Amino acid sequence: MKGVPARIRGVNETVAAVATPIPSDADVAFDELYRRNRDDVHAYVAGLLRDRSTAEDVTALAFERAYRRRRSFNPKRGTRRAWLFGIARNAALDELRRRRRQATLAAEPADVAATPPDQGADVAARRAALRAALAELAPRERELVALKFFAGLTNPEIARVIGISETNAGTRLHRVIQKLRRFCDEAA
Amino acid sequence: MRLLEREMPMDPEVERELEAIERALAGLRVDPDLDDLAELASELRSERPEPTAEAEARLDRLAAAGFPARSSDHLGRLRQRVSSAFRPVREKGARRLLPALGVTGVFLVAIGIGVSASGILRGGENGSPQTVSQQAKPGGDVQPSADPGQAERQATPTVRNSSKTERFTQHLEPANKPSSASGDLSAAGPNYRKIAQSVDLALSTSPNDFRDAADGVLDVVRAHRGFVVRSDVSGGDPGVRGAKRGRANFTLRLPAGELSAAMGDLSNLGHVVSRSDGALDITKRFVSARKAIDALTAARDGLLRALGHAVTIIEQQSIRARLRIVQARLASAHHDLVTAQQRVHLVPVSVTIAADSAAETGGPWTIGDAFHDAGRVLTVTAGAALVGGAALLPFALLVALGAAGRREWVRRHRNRALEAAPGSSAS
Repeated sequence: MKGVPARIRGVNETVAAVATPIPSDADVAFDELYRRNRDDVHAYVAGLLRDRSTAEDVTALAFERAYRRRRSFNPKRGTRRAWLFGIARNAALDELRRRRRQATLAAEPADVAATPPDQGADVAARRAALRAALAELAPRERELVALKFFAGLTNPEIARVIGISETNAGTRLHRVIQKLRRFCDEAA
Repeated sequence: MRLLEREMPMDPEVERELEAIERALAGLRVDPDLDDLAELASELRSERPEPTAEAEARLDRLAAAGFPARSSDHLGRLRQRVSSAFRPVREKGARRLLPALGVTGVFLVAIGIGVSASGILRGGENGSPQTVSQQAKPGGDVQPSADPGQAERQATPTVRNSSKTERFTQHLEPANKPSSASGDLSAAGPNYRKIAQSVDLALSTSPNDFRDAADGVLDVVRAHRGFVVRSDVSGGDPGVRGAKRGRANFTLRLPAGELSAAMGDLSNLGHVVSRSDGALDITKRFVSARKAIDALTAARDGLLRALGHAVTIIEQQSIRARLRIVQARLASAHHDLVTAQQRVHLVPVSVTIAADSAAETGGPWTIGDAFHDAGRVLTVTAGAALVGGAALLPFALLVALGAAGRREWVRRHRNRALEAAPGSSAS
């Protein structure tokens, strides 16, 4: 016992603390990704599908897929956010495919008259015109609006998600904005 | 097309407006002439669908549970089970070692195949294959015989003897090659071919095993119902100091039906130095003897009839003299036939056994042997890897092609689904 330090003399038994699994780097990064993008992914999917109840399921499915593949993310191929939205896009398009196979589900009608009561008639009219214009957009155009204005993606991220060049993404987005402006002006 | 789009510079006005949208979304001021654009961007932003509180809570619950696969998603559930089973391995960082482990495993398998195929572990032969030739003697075609093992060897030009790793190279004519003999032979048919076989076998044993091997020859001959024509065993007595190196020569006769099994047993008595198998088609000799017997029998019968009708003594004496000649020829023809039959049914086998200290099993394994064995293992391993790669490459290409095709198919269907999504009244 000569060489044993004084502070552990007489200690016969040690009680180990219950080990909790240490989350890996990928788990931590995914948790962060989920917290930052949950609402954005939902907004994008809802904007693309135009069906809020299905959007919740598809959002959950997208995160589920992303969680399963969280270790396969490659930073060289774009940001983690673009990667997540790519998965969400595929999940949403798979839902559209499923709908086509089963039966054509009518799109949830946009609530054109739904405007907060505290807003004036002018604002309400503009919002109604904007919703009507959004309803007139083609699905691909609506997707661009959802990615840019609902999910808040940058143009390079949009390009990565839908698989086109950055210039093309900007050009297409600009074309959609012009179209919406025209609709709104005509409605006004 | 994408390259062109990437290289094409954007219209400065478009770029300015996109920049204004970015600024508006970030809550920054924009140029006054783009106020309406900024306002549109803000309005679009305010149209963003928000999840309900219940949906948020549900998603958070799923996130906390690690997004478990749904009950309907059997594949997903299976994946999760596998993933959780391997979680401790992943946490210990063993995942990084997987490629190295995989490559090592492949090499170990290839080395195993190499060692197995090179025959080093089989022993008894010092890994050196022996060449054994089997040649048809000139003038004879090898044909199917009563011995199935022999027939099999004749049908296959090159046969590998698995027990001894010996290469049998047969320089034989095809079994069904038309015979050069006359029509009499062809009338005999292929099933009536008479093949006279012969085998010469040379064995070597260690000095200590020499006597046992020599005694073993006799046991084998007895077991296969053959007999020893001649034997000569000299030297090799382990009890006598300075005794001559042992050498034994046997001339045997073995039944043709037992030849294959008997040769296998004889080969097991020692290290096979050489083996020569011969086969001679003696069908023509058979047919000639039979024809001669038939002709002479007919002649004898004719002479006997003529003798019965002979009137004068001189005539009878003449016929008797001719009869004696015919009967002598008939006996000779019978003898020929019996000899040929014996030649076919009893195969002459010559066995030579030599005591050789180099053939000692379990002898010293030198560094030269080690290099030799290592070289063989590497050669066979490389061969096995090459063959494996060649076999797997087309398969891998097919799988890659299939995977790429499936990805493209899914991508197209997704795009089609997007095009056909409801609410696309304008394009």
